[in-house]
Amino acid sequence: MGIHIYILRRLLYIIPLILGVCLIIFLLFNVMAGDPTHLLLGKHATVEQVRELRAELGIDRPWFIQYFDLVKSSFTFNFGRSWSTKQQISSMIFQGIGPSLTLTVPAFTLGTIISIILSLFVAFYRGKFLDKMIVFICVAMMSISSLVYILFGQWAFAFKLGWFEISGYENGFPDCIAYIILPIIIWIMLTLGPDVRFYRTVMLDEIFQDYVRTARAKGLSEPVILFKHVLKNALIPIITYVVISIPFLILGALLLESFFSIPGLGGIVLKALNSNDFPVLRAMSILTSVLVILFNLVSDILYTIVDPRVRLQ
Amino acid sequence: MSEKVLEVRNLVTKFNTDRGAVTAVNGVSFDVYKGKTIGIVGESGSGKSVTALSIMKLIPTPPGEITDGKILFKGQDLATYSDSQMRRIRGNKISMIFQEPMTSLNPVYTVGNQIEEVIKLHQAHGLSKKDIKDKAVEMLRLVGIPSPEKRVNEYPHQLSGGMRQRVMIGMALACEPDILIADEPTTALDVTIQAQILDLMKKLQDELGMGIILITHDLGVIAETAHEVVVMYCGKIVESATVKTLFNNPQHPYTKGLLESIPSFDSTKSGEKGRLTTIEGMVPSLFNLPKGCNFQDRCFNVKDDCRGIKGPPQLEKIEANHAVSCFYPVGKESSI
Amino acid sequence: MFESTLEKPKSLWLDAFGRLAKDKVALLSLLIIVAYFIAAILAALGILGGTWEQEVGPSYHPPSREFWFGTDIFGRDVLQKVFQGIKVAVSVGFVSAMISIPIGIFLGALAGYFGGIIDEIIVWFYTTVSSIPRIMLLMGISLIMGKGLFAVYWALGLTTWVTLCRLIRGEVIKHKEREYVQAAGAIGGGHLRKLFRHILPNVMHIVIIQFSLQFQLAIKSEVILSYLGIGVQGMPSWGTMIDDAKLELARGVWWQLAGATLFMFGIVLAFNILGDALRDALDPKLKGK
Repeated sequence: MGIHIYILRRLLYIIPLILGVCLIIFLLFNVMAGDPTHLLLGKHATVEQVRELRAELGIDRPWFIQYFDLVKSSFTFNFGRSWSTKQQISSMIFQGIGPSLTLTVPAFTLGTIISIILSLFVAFYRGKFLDKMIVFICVAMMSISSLVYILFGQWAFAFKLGWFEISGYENGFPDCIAYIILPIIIWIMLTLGPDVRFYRTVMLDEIFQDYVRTARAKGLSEPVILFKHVLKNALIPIITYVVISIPFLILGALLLESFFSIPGLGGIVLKALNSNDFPVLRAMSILTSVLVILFNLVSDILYTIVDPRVRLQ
Repeated sequence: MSEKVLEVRNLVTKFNTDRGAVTAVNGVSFDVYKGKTIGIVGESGSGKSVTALSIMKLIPTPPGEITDGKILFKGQDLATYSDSQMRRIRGNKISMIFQEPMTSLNPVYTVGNQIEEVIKLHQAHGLSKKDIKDKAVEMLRLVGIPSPEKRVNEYPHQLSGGMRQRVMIGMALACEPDILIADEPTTALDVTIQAQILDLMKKLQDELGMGIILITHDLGVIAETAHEVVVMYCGKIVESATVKTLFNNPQHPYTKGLLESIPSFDSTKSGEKGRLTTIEGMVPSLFNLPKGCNFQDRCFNVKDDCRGIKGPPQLEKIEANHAVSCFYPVGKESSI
Repeated sequence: MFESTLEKPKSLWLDAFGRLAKDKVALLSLLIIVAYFIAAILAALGILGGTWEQEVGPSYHPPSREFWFGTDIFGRDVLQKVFQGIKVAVSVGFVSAMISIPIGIFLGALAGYFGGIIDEIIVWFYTTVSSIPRIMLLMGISLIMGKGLFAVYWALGLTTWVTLCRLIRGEVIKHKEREYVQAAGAIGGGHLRKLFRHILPNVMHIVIIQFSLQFQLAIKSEVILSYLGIGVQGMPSWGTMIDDAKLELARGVWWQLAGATLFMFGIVLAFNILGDALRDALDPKLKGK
């Protein structure tokens, strides 16, 4: 019973969270960012034009109505129209999500699998030279800006060596593959460092637990101990971590999409930033925030299912 | 006479720390017999746990290392065994249980699964899955867990500390080993549960006939369960005897101190005004052992030649089944 | 295994310092960081990199004996620009940390110590802030504050306090119930006294570790901000130099990218190593490595 109440409470807590998120986004984009009409109309706009535009954009309404609209949109996902393209934002999102996901989902999946395998490997050789070297490489890789990876990767492997497409995109599978391979590789390089370090910590935390000592006293070999005993325990925090990371896949890899001209959500956000397209920025902020909140909830619930200590009370 | 099942001879285990090498076990010898329990008694840091882990070859090998001695198990020297050879012994011929039942079982597998695992590992030939499952249930029954058929599918956190320790014992005995090593098995348990677990171990010893090495700092536990005792201090054995002899006629000042520091309701035994007696001073750091006898700075009977002229004392037999490592033993019937 | 036979543990800090002193790599990292800090001060004073604006050579001259990292499009010495970049990077790391750390400590301590409704509000607040992807927040803040170094300080400072806040809150909650705090109360210590004199000194190690993490995160973030167009304006930073490279590389000009990346690698790596060493030395729940 305790668990069901916990889940219910967590579900209800989403509401104040969404209200809070909308509040911050509202304060940022509606209140503090100032009057966008001058940005859109230029300095020589007449008072009439400004008033018209303000009515059109809906920013002449009282603030709590604007806030309420924002909250409503976070449930209905109807975000209105973009100021620059005049499209329905929800259809823009719909169009952009496909390309973003073709990049991020394979990258994330592959990256996670490779990182877990590497971390098991490193846990096995803990303390030895191989372990220290791999950890150092991870730290070194983390000390270079992601921009450099993208620049270098694109320049070296697409431009100079011609192994991959420099940029561009084609919808549909398998046409898109040629365009996403290099960005996927770069993404994996970027996440390998921090992920391996995190998973390694998780593995090592488990390896020093008492039950591992018991397993050794039973005569089990190290590989069996790692794969059967340690991994299953380590997967609990790992699954939590992975689930929480999923919402960030939606934004696509903002920088990668920009450099490789992939028409995903990341590109939409960047264009909106450059053109002061507030509705789009608001919409993307809300969309991603709501997803983060939801997936955090999913991860909490998953945790109660996967950990027998929590599941059975 | 029972059959001798383990002979430890001059075991030396060292650790290489960044402050230098430490000898945690310094020339320890004792025997283990079928159906008999030998207790290893000492304070934290005396080397008793390291001795047990050395027998199982579970010392992490950097930084630890068995540098000398023999561990003769049925004639074979385990000190020379490779890790894959030892894996066939662990859990199978020699088993070990530990102090912390709360954390010694894997939380994400059922209790039954963990017992089945050790059976599958060592004695799977000819047994079907059902046989193995039944054996696990049998072991739970043997260690006194009620409704074992139900409990076998439960997770460790669903059992109390005492029950978890019983599961550990069941797991350790599932392959009917020749020796059970118990490292402070009752220290983390309530007093009433302690008694139950010790009784269980005695009963199982009668039934299964294994030799038990019981490690503890608690002389009360020794009195209840062990047949023979060795007292360890700073990595060496300072006295070894049968339990009766040790309690009646302790010869080493340290042993005497340990016995006297057991609080007693008998006012004639405690010091003036019923105060608790203690052994003065602290255990010396293993990095900085004194010359001569390790116990010199705490000994009420220390003499000048204990401080190094004669070197360290050696373990010498003073009567049948009684040896002590002291230049000036203090018991009532001292013949030295 | 033989705890009682070793000497009694010294205080956390002495012990940590001793351990760090033996870790040669960590010491080297510390030295490198100090060197960068000194370089930053020198650059701010104009002693180092003061001539970066001058046209000293032909446009896009490759690295040579005279110009170790070549020249940029305007013929300026890239190395001088890199030195200015050190100043920007160090100031960004430092100032943004100076903004985010007090916020994190303040809110975290408040939440952890008083609990109840104050805790609920603060937890709700930082949960909502951390639910919004940082890059969206950064964009939002830049719309308000505009571009430039000042905006960068605030944008980074206002978006990185949550982790520290969570950690401090956790530690304060743990310490609140400890005997030494109750003892302080028993001899008449009020809330403020308990918090400042007793609890906070015991959580300082978290602050130091977080500082090193946030510093290098800030330096890396500045690069992204420059690419997005909302970063430093009017002066060279590693971010602007790397951003410039996106046009330069196609023309075979690699040295500005190389210079900025190399120097950034140095300080970020040093902070990473030092941060790890600090965590190992200061974290009381050390297990064997």
